[in-house]
Amino acid sequence: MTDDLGRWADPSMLVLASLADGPKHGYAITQDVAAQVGVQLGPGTLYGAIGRLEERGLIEALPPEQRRRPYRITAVGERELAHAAVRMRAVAELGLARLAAARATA
Amino acid sequence: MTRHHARMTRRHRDTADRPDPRFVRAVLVLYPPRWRERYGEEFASLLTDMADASPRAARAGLIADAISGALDARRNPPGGRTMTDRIRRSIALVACAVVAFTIAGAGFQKMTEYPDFRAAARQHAAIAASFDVLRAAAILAGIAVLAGGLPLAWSVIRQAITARRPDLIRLLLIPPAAVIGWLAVTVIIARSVGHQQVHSAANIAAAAAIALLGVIAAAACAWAAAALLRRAELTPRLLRPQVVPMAALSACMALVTGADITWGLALRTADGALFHSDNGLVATPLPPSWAAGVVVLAAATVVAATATVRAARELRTPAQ
Repeated sequence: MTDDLGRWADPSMLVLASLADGPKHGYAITQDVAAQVGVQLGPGTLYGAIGRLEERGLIEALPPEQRRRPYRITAVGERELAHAAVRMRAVAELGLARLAAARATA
Repeated sequence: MTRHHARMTRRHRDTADRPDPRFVRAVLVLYPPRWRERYGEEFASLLTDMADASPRAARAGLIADAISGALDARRNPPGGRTMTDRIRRSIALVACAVVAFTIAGAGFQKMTEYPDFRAAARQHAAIAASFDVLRAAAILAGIAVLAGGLPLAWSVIRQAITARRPDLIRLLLIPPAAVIGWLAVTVIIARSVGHQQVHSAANIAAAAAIALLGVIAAAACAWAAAALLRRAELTPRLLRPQVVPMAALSACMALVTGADITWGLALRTADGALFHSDNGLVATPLPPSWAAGVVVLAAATVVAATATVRAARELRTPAQ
């Protein structure tokens, strides 16, 4: 699912990961992602990702609170995030293991 | 003043002034209208908050990102509809189908109210059974409409009052106004025509006028329901369970349609003279009235069932 998000895949993953522990509005997502991962999502990037995720049913909007609208990850979004996270962990472990092996033999 | 103090003062000066709302609006204009309609307000709030919390030097990056997002939104306009929007659309389609179905059902009820049809039902089991199935399924369909419609209606009414949404209140008033208006006009027409022969020109004209006004009132109700579903804030939690009454309603509509077909065929077999009589709508031959009713019922059923299946698919799989 996240494969077809193109260059928006990373912001989309960050948004999904941020929403995994509870609903947040746009500003709270940017603050959370910046604090946890060190990535500053711009407003255009964030809403590009939110629009795509919402359209694909991975997140859903909650009733607005004043001018801010919180979003919540859906069950489908949780499955997609878990699937993508497992895949990313496998890639990370493979890369780290091979780098370590290459350094050991160098 | 220490260097640290000076830096903090400069930072406070940089971040204290909020961005000009006109500038935020100018950035928003770059986005497509449909995108603005959906995300505009919250996006403006985010842009303001982020700019407010950033030093002035960092604002250029925010603006560049917002402009880049606008270009992306114009290059790849969102499908326009989120999952919940598509479920809303399905519910609106079902509401329109129910209105058409109700009109056709009322036509059938009106057509078969003559004593000849009741006598035929008493004499022939197949006609009586199809009548009974039709009525039972129609009652169940009504219950399904109430089960699905009341929570939505309550949510919209509460929202219209608490959020002071005059647009929602106006739309909510349309269905009762349309029904009351139609009933009032019906009474006036009926009184002005008086007791006329069934096949008299005055009676036929009055029945045609009442039917036409009924269709207009029903169309107004359907339009108001669809507009309410489009404009009101309806949470996914409220929309998702609608699939259950929608499925029950579609099944009942299919039963009613089947029973109507069975009724007509049974009547033709059992009492050909009555079937070919002029007891159709507005004193026209019965077969075309019956066939037209069946077509409307079947079309409404297909629309409702298709919309229900689409809504159910939305819940199961995300759109690609």
